[in-house]
Amino acid sequence: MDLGIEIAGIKMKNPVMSASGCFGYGEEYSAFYNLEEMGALVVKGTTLEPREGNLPPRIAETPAGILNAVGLQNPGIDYVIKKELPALKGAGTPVIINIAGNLEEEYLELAKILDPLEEVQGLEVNISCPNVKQGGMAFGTDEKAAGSLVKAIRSVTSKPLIVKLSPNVTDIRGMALAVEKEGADAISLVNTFLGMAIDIHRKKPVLGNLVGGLSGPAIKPLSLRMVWQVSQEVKVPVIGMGGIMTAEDALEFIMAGARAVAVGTANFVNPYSIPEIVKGIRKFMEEHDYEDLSPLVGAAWKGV
Amino acid sequence: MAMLRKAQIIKHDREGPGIYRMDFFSPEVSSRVIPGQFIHLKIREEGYHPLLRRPFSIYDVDNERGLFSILYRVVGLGTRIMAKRQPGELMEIMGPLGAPFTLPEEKGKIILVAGGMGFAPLHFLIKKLLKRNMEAEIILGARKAEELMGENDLVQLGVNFILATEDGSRGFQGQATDLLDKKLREGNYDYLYSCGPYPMLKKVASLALSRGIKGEVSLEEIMACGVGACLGCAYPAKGDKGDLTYKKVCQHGPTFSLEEVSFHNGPGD
Repeated sequence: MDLGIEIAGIKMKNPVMSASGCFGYGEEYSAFYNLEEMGALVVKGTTLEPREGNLPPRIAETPAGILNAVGLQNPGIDYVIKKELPALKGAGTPVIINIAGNLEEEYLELAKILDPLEEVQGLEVNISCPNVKQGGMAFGTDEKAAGSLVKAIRSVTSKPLIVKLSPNVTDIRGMALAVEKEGADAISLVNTFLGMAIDIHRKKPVLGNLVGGLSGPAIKPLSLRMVWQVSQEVKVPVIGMGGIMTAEDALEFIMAGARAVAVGTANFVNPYSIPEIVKGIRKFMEEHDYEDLSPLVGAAWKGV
Repeated sequence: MAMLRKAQIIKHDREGPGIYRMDFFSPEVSSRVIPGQFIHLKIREEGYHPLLRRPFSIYDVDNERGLFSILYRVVGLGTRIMAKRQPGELMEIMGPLGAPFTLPEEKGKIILVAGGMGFAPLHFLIKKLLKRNMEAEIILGARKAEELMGENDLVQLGVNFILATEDGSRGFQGQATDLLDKKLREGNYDYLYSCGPYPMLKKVASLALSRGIKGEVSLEEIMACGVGACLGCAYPAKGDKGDLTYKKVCQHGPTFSLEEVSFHNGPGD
């Protein structure tokens, strides 16, 4: 039996990846298990220059979910290349860098810097962060802007290009088709849903940033529906995420059409989430006599 | 490596209005934990509400019996569920986590200032200080007499303590910081530790630093991962060049030096 998959030329030993922003640069969770057990490691959203991030509080818990407004805090690409990536060289799992910026030039510069690096197996273009004032999300909610950004990045890198979409749009299919047309090798969806919480005693929003992105089990039915819709429209592989806590959740996404899945919020609750989900998928395949994952991908719409 | 384990609740007592002490059996934690560190507790085994773990400072450790204790106040759904847990039940704990208090290398006069539940980490610390024959005294502040915690424990330890309540129902009437101001005028102190609500810590830091007294505080912030990955519990701090930066309460803290915290940019400002 083989859990292995391939996304945009990136070979993974299983379909379970970390979701960007929920796994740092891998170091923290390597204290719990060997990162080799992951399908791929997607690191924290990285920008050209260091970013301090948003004012606290940055987290608010809501029923079965978390609102976050971290604001892309990261040490900048130079530091990441010098200090974080060397530690991941022997990680035994493909490393995918999530890149983010305000302006097109910043994305292009990042893609150019990362293009020659052997230790980077792919780029995930973040056009969906709801917590930064400029850019990011602007690219993620306009088909034309998203398409032209992807086209420009495509022209400066030969690395596999995954585009991470925002769910905060009217037509997720249109966004997916636009980035596929301009050269995305894979599409990951979804980022967090814009939301908020109010402290009734202070009569103010809980988050320092006022609004934030909702993640966790609360959004699973929404993200699952988007994976279902997009995977039937596009030819490139879809990476599904948004509230995956268990192997059963991951299998739902796979049957909805995702070739791989990413685990985010679950890591905070159970640091062993990723290896446990891998184990659960394997068990399911054994019990149902699947030799590989391909018949399961999109099984739910293939059977309708 | 395995920082996740189940621990049995051995004792669970009400200590005051909505205030509880929970004792766990876990020799792995009790033998390793250092004052200032915390555990990240999973509230319920199944279900997603509440979703996140909750961080609690260690209140006490009994190495001989393999026990450690936390002290908490019921403030929301998580602690309401916790308050119903019974001795004999298991809870999943992650930890010990975080950077502990540093202990002064030389002997000196130490003052501790606790506000409300901020007494928890300071109680564990004061036990360590006394073991090292350090001269320590503590100011305990609370809103009212029933919320003053740990008086009996302090009597047993034979440590000097002064009480302050905002409503004057016990001890000095006023804030713990009013008492601190008075103490700092009267005596020479070499080091200070404090834990409590943000406005109190801010005042404590300004009083101590204006007299050139060094010290540490233990901070609180809403946390998601507890291990430094999510950047959710960031706190404004002074960078190497005095610039504003964010440090993680879970990993760089929860203990910070007084100089390190940027008290003008806190969540309470």
